[in-house]
Amino acid sequence: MNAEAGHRSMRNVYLAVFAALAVLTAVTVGASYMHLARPQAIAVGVCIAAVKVSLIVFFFMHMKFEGRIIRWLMVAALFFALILLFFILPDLGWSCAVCFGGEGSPMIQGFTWGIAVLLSLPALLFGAFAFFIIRSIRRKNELTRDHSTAI
Amino acid sequence: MSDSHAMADTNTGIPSGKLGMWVFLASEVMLFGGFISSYVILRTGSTNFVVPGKEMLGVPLAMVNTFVLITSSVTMVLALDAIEKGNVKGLIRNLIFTLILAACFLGIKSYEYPHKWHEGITISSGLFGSFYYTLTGLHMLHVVGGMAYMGYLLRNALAGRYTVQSHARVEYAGLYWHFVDLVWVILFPIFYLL
Repeated sequence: MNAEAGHRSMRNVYLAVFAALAVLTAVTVGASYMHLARPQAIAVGVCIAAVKVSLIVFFFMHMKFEGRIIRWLMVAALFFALILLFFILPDLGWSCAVCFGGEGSPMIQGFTWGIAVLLSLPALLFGAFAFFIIRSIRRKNELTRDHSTAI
Repeated sequence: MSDSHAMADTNTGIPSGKLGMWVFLASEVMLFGGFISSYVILRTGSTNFVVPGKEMLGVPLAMVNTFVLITSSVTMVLALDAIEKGNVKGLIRNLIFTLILAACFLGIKSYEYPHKWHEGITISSGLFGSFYYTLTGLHMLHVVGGMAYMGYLLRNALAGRYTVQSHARVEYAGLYWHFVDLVWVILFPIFYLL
């Protein structure tokens, strides 16, 4: 049976992903003992973690088979989480990290931008809610209209 | 009907439970994202950030813990695979494996914490300690929550409530559990390896 075969092959996929995750864990630990230069060590660690996370999300959490809505939901969350990191990080590179004082210091500017961008998240969320509500009302209206004309 | 295979009778075409779980996971991304990015920023930016030596961190034990959690993720997905084929026994067996592995993870962590404490890495010993205990502690709470969730699934499974047609909650619990695994996959290198 087709569905049965599909399930059986999924089981093998899960086991293959498990093997990959185990090997990657061993590799990342091994690499951390190789005394790489700091940037290289970070690059290796981050890349391996990214591959592992993708394997888990796409295969164990079945993201591979999900539609647009769930994909974009996670892309949005990831985007805003990364803003926290990358809008502030470059500024830090040029400034003293613990100088929280000074008006207009790079740190303050970084945080201000971070806050401004993050404030748009609730706006986006409420907008999305409003969009879905309006769309569902419209659909319902259309359905009832079709129904009444049919009768 | 809570059939995860059929097209759901919702506007989005996604069962409400599944969409709810993904929205919750999106909020979790922000929760952990906030903590992790502040850790990364302070670690790269602060002159007061003292990183303890690797031998103090106990990398081998943490690596074992990573394997334990990855394995528990696999047993969880095999539990879903089993019930999708109508194999209730397989579901129960894999849920029990997952619970045992989760308990192993907590056991190893509860050995690690006092050990670190004695080595002088405490929650108030410096930035590293604060972040370490906050983030791994938050993650551990998620593991405990996941165990409660799986205990609930196990009770239902033993009562014969899950069938080929109706097992959506097993899938949602799986999503949550894999997310907990995923967070550890990120925490492990940033605290122990880099």
